[in-house]
Amino acid sequence: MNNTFIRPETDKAWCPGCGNFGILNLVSEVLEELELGKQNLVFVSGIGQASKTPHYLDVNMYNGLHGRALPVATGIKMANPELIVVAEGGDGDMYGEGGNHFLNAVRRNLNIVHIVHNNMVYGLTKGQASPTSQREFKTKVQVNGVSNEPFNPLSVALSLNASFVARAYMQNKEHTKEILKAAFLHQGYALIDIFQPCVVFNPVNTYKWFSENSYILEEHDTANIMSAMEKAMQTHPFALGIFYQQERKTFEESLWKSEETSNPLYTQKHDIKEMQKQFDKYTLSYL
Amino acid sequence: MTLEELSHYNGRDGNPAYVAYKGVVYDLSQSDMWKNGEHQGEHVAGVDLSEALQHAPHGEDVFKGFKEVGKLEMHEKKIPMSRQELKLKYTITSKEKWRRWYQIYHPHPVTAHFPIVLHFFAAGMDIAFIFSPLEKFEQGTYYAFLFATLFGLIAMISGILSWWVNYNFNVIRPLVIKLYTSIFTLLLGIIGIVLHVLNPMIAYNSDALALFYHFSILITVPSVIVLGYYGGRLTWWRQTKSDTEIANHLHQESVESKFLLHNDFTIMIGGSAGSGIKTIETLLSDVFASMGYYVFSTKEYMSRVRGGSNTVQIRVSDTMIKAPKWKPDLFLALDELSVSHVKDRIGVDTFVIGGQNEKFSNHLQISLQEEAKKHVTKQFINTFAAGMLFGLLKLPLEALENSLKKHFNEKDHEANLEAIRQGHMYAQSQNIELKKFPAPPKKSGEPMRYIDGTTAAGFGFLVGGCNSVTSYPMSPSTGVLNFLAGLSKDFEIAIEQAEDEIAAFNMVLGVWYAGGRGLTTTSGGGFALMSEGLSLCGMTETPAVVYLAQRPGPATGLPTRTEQGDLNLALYAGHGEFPRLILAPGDALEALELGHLAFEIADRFQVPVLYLSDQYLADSVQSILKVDFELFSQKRYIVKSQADYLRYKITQSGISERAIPGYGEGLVCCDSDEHDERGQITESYKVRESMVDKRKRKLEQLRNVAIAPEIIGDGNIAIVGWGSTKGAISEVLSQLDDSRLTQVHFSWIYPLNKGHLSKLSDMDFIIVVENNSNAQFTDLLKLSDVKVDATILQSNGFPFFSDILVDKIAQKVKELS
Repeated sequence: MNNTFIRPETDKAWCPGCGNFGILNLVSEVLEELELGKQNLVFVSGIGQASKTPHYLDVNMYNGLHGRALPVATGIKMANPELIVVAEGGDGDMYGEGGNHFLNAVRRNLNIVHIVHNNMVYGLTKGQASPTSQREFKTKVQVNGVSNEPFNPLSVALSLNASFVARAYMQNKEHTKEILKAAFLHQGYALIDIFQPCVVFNPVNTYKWFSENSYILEEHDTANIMSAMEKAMQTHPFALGIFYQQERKTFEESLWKSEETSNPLYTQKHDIKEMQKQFDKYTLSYL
Repeated sequence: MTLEELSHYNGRDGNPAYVAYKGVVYDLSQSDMWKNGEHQGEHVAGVDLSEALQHAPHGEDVFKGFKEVGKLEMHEKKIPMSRQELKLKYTITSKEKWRRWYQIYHPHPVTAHFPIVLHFFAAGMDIAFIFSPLEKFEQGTYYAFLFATLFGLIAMISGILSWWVNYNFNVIRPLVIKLYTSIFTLLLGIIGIVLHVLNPMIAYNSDALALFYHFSILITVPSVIVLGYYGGRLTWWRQTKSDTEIANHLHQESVESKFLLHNDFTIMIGGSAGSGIKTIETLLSDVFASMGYYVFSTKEYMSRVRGGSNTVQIRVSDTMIKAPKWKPDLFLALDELSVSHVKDRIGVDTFVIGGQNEKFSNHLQISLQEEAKKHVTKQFINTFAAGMLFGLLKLPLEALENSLKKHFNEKDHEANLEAIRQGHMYAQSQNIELKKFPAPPKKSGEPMRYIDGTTAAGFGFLVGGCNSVTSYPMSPSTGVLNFLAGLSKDFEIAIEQAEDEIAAFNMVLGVWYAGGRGLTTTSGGGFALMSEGLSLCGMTETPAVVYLAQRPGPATGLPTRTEQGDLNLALYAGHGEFPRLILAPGDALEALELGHLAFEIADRFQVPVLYLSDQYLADSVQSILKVDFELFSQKRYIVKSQADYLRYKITQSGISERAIPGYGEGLVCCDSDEHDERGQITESYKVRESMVDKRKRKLEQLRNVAIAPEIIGDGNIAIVGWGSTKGAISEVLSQLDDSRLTQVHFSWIYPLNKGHLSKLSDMDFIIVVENNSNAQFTDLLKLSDVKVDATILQSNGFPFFSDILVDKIAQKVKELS
């Protein structure tokens, strides 16, 4: 397959059979099919196996710190609202280390696509529990099995009135691509939690397990937040699809007063005369 | 050799051509590339080329084979030029292009030499004629004088052009002298020629007119000597420097004033939070400033919104002062609690007004609240007290009334004006003699401007092009966030209150990555949370600016008080090794200038810039003269990318061109992992080494452009300070008036330039004054091999008070010498 969004001459650091390969391919195909311009596309990521995805895509990239992709994405949208920004990472990165940023990105209705690879385990640090690990999941650290309630990203996002909430399973290729496309076309914050097996460190949540424990939502009203919440709270099996979508005022629309002033910041310079005027105001009679 | 001395060796008018490079002075007189002291029409001799050579197509090996003639002293007495020089280097305006053209062709020096020679020739011929009245001498005199005058006119026109190109018609003494002298010469020339035209035989006569004719020819010689002398003094390098004097006049003013003994009157007012103590501070600062006084005010407050006991101190002076005093001349107690709160600060000369439970030697033992109630109502205690103060100081009420009208809502005018008058009348009935109030400074008539350290920093960031602030509120840094948020209605500034400091700093990185100019504001605790982000900033070489207003720690410490305790945090925050810049302003003007510089350096060198202020500087108000914002360079370093753009291209300087996403054909990839030139993750040990070296080279670049410490005085005992201690040390040294003492003030804290420290190694003794208990800056100096003999430290949450510091410095000096 000849995909121009796959970066040439890169050595992919994932294990053979990793679900990340599938997500990388789906994302790159979606970018290709949507005919997006590479120059206007920025992928932001943190740390983890999933956070390496932007390294393998031929796009603008800012790979930052563990858990901190969303604040960087926020800064990028502040400086240039014209860029299409994607934050991509894993469940540990986005829901664990970066949990507070997740809550606030939703609250801001940051106009980004937020892709979270959810394999219910820590891969990069070799097999500890992640925020989405299921109860009783045993690891070298959680020797008696996980006792914490698994983090439910969908219901949390919905409780904050997120404007687009979806879940996919990467093996359902066409379905996942459909959701990704809808997310790219959505104006506002769009969360896509993507189930993905870790073939090395998660012997429980396997390809087979995900297939058996998920189903595609049908006849669901995506404008109804209460029914979305109801579906989001149901587990085993987990529903897949767009749970809720309702556009509302985005972060950048609130940030700038009008369209004329929402130009990229690099094109702007402050008016020195106005500065002189303000200085007079502040230094002559203002305290 | 100093820069000043170096400037005389400009390779012109028979002078040798010297240039300095990294502290060494070379003689290039023999070089074919440096004829007439000029090189490629770009550079002139007589200057330090360390910076320029970095942009040259050749390396430093060009100096091989030329004679070393000395070392360059970086010490510039009194006037801290280097910041302005730095600023100038960044600025290439259209006038700068003219200047370069002018530098190549310089019409004025060319045209000026003809009349000079001809005037000499005319005078010579005339003297010959006087001794031997031959016709050839007479004719020679007249024609030489005629052409001297004509060429003189041309030289004058080209001189005026020069004045415009180089000086913006700015009034500078040598130019004024030149202007008057040339008009004088021209007039004499015209008179002499007219006399000769009217009577061609005039030279042979001996009447008064003839004598005047000879006089006009002879007197033009000293005139052209004066013209030539001042012309020679205005060498190219000096012209460049003089141009910056416009920007620098503020500094000179403030610097010079340190050598003048000031007369001041220090008022302190105590009351509870929320009782309107802020109102009286605003009112008094404004009224004294409007009367043309230099004003300094500072507050000391408890960490609570209402109640407690707070004070404000207002110092009114006839020269610039920038420090608080421990013991005021007058203390005005708005309530009983404030008297016990400041009891220790009442000196034998302090006059206390208010308070009935304590008794002081100079005391009007009344309850201000009761008096206010008696004359107006308790609610107007502030304006009543202000009126009373004016009565005691025998100052005109009119000024106070005008300030009141400016700051109060119209509906409150009448009642408050009445309160002022009542207070004034009451004071007059008391018959109290206070210490003499200073006379307004000579230049008064115009209101004095005043600004607090927070607003000054805010304007600095603004003129530095800051267009985004992402912060989590924390005292005492929040003022800058508030200020810039307030201005976001008038300027394009994106403001976002982050969920925490980690987010705030990572947002800054996102902003710069995408082409904005981001700032975050915080204090020590918040900055500690930014440490990991700082390291990311270093790795991805994304510019960033942090306004770090210090307060005493550890942990919550004293949230509303001051300390210089976070220098080590700023120096060492972040894992791994990467370059950074630390700046610390010493006064309001520096706060503004360094705000601009922070953005300039962050953008140019792609490094984090940590701007260290503190609660004291942020909250204190001082006088400032008008700042011309046009003088600040507005350079931007973003490039449009080509398809094969490499974000981390290895360069000699260590700085790679910075493109941003969405501007150009290329892709911009930044990686927190070690990366190759593309920004792609790598574990190659070779790439790792080259990238570490590349980042390290930026630190050396920073060292080279470092601002030299400001050195005031030429004694051999250095009183070293950094950041906000500047004003207190200055005041102390002017009080001590001891020629052995020299103030050395650092505002560029890290990385230090060893050349700049050489002046310190010449000192007999070095005393460092710091507002912390571990002598953090002293440690930094020691790492640069500076030997520190004594330290004066403080960690009580207060700023340095000039009347306490004076004793401590005097004591240390006595112990050492």
